[in-house]
Amino acid sequence: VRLLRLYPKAWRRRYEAEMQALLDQHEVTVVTRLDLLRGALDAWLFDRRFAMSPTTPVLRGARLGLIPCALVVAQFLLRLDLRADPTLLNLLGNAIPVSIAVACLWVGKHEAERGTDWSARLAAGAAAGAAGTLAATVVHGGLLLADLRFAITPSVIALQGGSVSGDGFAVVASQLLGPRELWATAAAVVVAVVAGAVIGSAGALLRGVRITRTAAGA
Amino acid sequence: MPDHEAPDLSGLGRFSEPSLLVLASLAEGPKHGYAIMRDVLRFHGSRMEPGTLYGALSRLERQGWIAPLPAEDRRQPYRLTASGAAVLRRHLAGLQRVVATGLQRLPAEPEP
Repeated sequence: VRLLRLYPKAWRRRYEAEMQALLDQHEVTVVTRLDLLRGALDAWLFDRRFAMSPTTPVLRGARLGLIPCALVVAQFLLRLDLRADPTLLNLLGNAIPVSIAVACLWVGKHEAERGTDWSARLAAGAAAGAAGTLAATVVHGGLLLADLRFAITPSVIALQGGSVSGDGFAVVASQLLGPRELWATAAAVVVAVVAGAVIGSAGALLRGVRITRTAAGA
Repeated sequence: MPDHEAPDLSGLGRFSEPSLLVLASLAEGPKHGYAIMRDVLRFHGSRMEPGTLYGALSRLERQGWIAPLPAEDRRQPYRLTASGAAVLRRHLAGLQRVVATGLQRLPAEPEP
């Protein structure tokens, strides 16, 4: 199962051989593959023995906040398909801020599980919000400019009549890098910092809601 | 080296429930991964997938609650340690209190 290659190197050195032996006996289904994907993500992000392990809550939050950028890329890739459903494209666009909020919630919960204090949870949530918003804006702008410069998506090709034009690129680039857009981005990041801190704190409350946990602590 | 930030299973996040099942399985004696999966399916009825199983094994090993035994071919058996048995006992006692209280408080089932 090639998915084992997605795990961190140190993890593979320790567990790959025995897990491969297990998979040789196990019926590998779609659920198994999804579970392995989730396991690999978990090993990279949260398994303290193997994960890239930033030492501060801010770095841990920022790292997780970058994940929603995948939705920006997915939205762009979907635009390459002429038959792409506009509803789905809109849905993906709307899912980006939601996924950033979920990332903030998640880091808050994980900070609580690590036993850090409230200031660390606030900082991690704020960092996730800021990193997610900034990265999504930068990636979105970058892909837009690349599209205009190299006429990648069908909509831009149609707009430019099948030829690559530098005009649209220059106009949009000057807008994106203009003071108005930069101020708007800075304001969005500030809002994301505040909202991320609040959501991160709420995420900490998610810890311990399971009945098994409550029972164990009883 | 085991760390002591998670003195009970609740500190293992989403792996607390799979970890409980792994500890309960190893309470019977040492087993390798596939044997644990089969045992969990038998006594709990749930099919534990390899990604979840190894997420739990990795955390339990880090805590020092299970320990690897010498490998048999490519298969790696694990055993429950004394601290793992203590954690399992404490957790099951808590669950038992919940079960007893819940059953006591439920009204009697009506006659069919």
